[in-house]
Amino acid sequence: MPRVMIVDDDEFLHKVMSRILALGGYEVVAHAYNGLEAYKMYAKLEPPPDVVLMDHRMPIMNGTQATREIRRIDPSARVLFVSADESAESEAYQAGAAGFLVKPLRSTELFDALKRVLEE
Amino acid sequence: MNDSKMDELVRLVVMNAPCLILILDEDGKVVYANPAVSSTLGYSLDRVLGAPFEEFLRPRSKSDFQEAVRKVESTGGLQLVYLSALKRDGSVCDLDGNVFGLRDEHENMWVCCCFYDVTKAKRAMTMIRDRERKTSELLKTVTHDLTSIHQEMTSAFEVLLGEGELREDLSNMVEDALGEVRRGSRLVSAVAKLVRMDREGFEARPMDPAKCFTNALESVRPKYPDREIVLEGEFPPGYVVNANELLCDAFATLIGLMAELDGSRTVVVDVSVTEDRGASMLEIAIEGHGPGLKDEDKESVFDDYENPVNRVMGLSMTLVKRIVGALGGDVRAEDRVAGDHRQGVRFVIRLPYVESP
Repeated sequence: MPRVMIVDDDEFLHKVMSRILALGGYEVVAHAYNGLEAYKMYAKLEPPPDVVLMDHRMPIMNGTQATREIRRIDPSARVLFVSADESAESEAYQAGAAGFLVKPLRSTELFDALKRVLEE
Repeated sequence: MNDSKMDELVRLVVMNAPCLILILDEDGKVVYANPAVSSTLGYSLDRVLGAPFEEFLRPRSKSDFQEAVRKVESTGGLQLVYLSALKRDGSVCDLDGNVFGLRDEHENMWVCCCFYDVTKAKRAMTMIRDRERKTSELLKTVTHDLTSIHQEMTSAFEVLLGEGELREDLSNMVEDALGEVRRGSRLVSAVAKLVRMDREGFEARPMDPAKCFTNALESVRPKYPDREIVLEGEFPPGYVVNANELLCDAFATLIGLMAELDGSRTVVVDVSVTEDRGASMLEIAIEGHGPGLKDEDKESVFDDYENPVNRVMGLSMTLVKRIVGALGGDVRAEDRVAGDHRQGVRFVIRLPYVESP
């Protein structure tokens, strides 16, 4: 079962996204609520998650900064952005994002994107 | 009118002008100031006469004024200047005006200045810009947070549909709720984009509208997981238009509208493209087979915020018209079958193209 880490500053989103991912056959192995926490958590996870679902706009450290840090320690890390901020797309890809989804999205969009990212 | 009468009138104009009028000698000293010097700078005429005008300017404006005088003396003409002066009470006065040169019958050079006090106007502009910046930040925050809330609601409803064993009527209600969330999300996005277009303008670059259309279709399909959106017809690649990602939004809105109007499990969307070579315009027709738009709705769907279809689409029809207009084109709604609105609507977007295949 593919292992996913969710990074978002909204607690309720973690709850519903975990249920959605479970429906799609994904296992959520870690929850982080800002970019700094995400980066530190990623470094400790063994094995690392198969995909990181990353929000962009978060306190302390945003998603693109966190992506750069994560990919610095693991260049093979797959980070799929799920963000309300469309304008962050090019910055996310420059940071090394594997994909960029704009909220709000249906579960089918999420699962299609996850499948695509995992196959690459 | 005789010369002396004319001279008297000119004198009255200068004496009563609401702007500050000064004449400076070749050393930059004030040889004449009209009465507005008191109301503008707070100084008496006696204080000002014989003093270098620069004495009343803030340090950063002295070099600007010197530069303007230098240009007037060397090349003639009129120099526009914006200066910051210090009033007698110590407060700052913003002056907007011009400097020009005059030679008298003895070839003596005089520098003439005419300034308006724009202090209040500048303060108002600063306040407006500050408020716009704050409103813009607020709009970003509201847009972001509402979009996140919409995501949470969408996911929560999908969990209910996926995990809960709901009665059919409750399941239908949840699907309807998902539709309302979609409408809310479109509204937030459309309003944010409309405001941004008004404030920041619209930057365009060459792009292939066929790619835009394909991206739009691929972005709409996942939004309707219980429907199959089938494309018929072809959007030929190879045309180049000056546009940006908002063109994809416009296409996505119209394709999405077909899904909203057509309640069928399979939604057929036709696309066709024709070229008006004479006008270098592309006509892109997007049509659906579901219920169309009544005649009274065909115009108002783009402009009227209360139009039911525009409301269902969260004002994104207004955004479509604004985007297409910004690209130098236009959009109209027609019956797919002429004269019978019940058989579907056709939207025709006309766009100028810069290259054709």
